[in-house]
Amino acid sequence: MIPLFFLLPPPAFDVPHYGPAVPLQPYLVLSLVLFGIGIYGAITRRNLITILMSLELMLNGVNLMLVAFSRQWGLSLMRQPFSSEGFQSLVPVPVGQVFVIFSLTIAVAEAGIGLAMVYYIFKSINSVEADRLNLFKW
Amino acid sequence: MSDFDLTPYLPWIWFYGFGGLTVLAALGVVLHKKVVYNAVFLALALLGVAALFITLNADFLGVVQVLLYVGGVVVLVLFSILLTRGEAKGGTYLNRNKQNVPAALVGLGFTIWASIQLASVSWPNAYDSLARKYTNSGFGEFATIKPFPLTPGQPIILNQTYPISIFGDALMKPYLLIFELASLILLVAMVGVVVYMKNASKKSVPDGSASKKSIPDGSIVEEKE
Repeated sequence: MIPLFFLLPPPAFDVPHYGPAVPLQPYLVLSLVLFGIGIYGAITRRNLITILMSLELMLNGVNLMLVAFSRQWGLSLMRQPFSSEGFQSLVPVPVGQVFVIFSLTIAVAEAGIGLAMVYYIFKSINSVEADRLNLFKW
Repeated sequence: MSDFDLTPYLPWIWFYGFGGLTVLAALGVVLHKKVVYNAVFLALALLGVAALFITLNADFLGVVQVLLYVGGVVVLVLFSILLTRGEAKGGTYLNRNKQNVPAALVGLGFTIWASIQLASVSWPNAYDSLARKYTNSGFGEFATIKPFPLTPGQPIILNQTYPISIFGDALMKPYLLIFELASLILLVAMVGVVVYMKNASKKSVPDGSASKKSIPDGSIVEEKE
């Protein structure tokens, strides 16, 4: 019995020099689904640590979208290094992946700072629930 | 059935397998009741995203994702869950607040709207547009950039993966300022975490409960690059 997803057409989209591949749009939809799940968790959860986890999910959705666009557009016409010919040729330029590296750095710093703030809040009000953060309430 | 060729379907299988794993694990992060299970589901979702990076020809980023997220952030989250235990006796056991339905509407609505907007565009390919622009189509001598030798039937062969030296070049040449700013941000984050933790260990819990444990100085778990 053939499973259902085999009924999908074989990928006709050819990423140049990479062979047949899944086109860009399913990756975009998947990253948006991750982002939406992160939004839901960040709004509804009570535990501050879980809210931070939902933020990590949202960051991962954005990173996935950046990498997908990098595969789609990460080719540039420039002079091939170490070649004596004057021809310009297509070389891969992973700008989106470099952006993902910076985004990862910021995410790690954000996780450290956020969890330190969660611990500080826990030492202050003896709770990590977001509903109890009412110190500024009149 | 035995001569069914599976090979052209393999990208779809990887995509649906790892994508489904990632989405299910993300739903587990958001919906499961216990916080430790949330952290374990987060590790699973991040591993799925790393596998998706590898299917997108970003091997280096997959490895970095496993190292930094699964090895760093999830461990940090687990440690902070351990440190903030002991508060569950007075609190409610509801893990979600009353904004369930509006949050679901917002998340689902945003996802559907943006998916429709983004998936309805036929995104151009860099290779196709460049090849259309610079093939030997009779206008080669008028082009300012010398056209690379490309005939329509025969594509040129390049390296199929990104070598890591490309990342080094990109980080050190055009994005050097952002690189230095990122290192500055990491330094500031580290110092900030140390200051926070020194103040938090001196802090006393207001109403005396059993969780008045003192943390020795410098016992923080901080992720460094």
